[in-house]
Amino acid sequence: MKEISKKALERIKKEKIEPTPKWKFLLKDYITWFSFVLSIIIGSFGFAMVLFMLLNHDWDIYRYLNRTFIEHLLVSLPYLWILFLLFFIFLADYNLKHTKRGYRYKTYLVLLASIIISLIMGSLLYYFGIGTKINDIFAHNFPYYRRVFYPREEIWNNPEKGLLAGIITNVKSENEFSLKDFKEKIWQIEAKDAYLKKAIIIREGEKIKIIGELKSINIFIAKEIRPWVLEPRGPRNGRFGPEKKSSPR
Amino acid sequence: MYTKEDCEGKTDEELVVLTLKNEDYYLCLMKRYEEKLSRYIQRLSGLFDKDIEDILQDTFIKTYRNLNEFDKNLKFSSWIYRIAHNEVINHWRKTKARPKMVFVEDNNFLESLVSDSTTEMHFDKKQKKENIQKILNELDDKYKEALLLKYFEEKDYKEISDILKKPIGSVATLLNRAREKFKKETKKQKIKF
Repeated sequence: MKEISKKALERIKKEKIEPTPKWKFLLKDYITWFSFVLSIIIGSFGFAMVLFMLLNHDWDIYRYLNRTFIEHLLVSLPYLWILFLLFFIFLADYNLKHTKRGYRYKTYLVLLASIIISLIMGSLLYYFGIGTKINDIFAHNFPYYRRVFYPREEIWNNPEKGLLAGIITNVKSENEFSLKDFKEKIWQIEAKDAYLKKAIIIREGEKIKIIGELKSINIFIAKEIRPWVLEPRGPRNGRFGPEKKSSPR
Repeated sequence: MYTKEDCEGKTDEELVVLTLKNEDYYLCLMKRYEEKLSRYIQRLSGLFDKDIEDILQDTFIKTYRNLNEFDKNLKFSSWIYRIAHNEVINHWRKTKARPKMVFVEDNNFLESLVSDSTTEMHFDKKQKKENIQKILNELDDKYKEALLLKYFEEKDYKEISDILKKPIGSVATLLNRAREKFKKETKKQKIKF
């Protein structure tokens, strides 16, 4: 047993074993730290999406869909983005644990810190409209995503149940306008007694959703009109835009 | 080849720096840890001489290869113990062998365990030692590893944390639980100490 040291040294010399260069370890360390930071950042995007989904969901329309509130809640939660966020939070923990001294931190503290950072950064991303942009990209490029994870268009395409949405195509007067729904059908909207929610502007090209009543095959009476997406406050295109005002009644 | 005098008075960390300039200094480091690590590997794995030698040699080679990774904020002993620990795990994976740790060698271990425990223990003999060995071997590996480092290798919590790469709080919890389980099992088997 006492010869082990000598044997080891002989083997080192015979096989010309050399210490791995320091730069390789430094590179590995930098990559691990970079992966940790990247995981937090991507997780933040996930939170921005969770926030977008939660704030733009119509939690009060469950009555129109013959659901209880709990059913509506369970069906509506943005599971995909919550799982996305959780995955990257755990990935951040994994990466930190693989840094030189990361093992010294308790897992629950690392997870908590990662969640808090992702929440703060995610909220900022949402505030600057990133949540909306990401959702638009996914909704336009991945029909499966739209159908399964963001089925708002289907939910709001229920005129028999009093729910209708689409793009305003023509404003005839302040009480009447045309709307093209998501199935390309043109509706005449009577909005004489409609409540305009969240500073909506009735103008051509505006995407809206309407709670109301089906009058006939292509006429819909609006009781409440809402914007399709609740725009977060903050600069758009690098400058502050004017506040939206309700159209004069 | 360097003599004993070349090594004396130098810290492990100084020897690491010297080894990176001249590999012969590595012999000094290996000789310092040869016996300690042999015992540690033997206790951890329960293997015999040939396998222990192989694992120890692999440990030394790996340590040498990774010398540039050595973090000066860490104790060298913790670092080389960590490598030895990992080499034993690798050996188990390669041979698919279950660990069979060997704990009971002398009374000092039990006395150390007793002094940290609230149970009063009086000693008996060989039968008791065998019972204790059995109880200890029935503990989960993570508890056995922690007990081994604390009571046999006499490492403190920080060193155990660095060797096992766990937070200090987790090490403390592991040791507390290990002692509790040990106590519970001795009561169950009606072993009096």
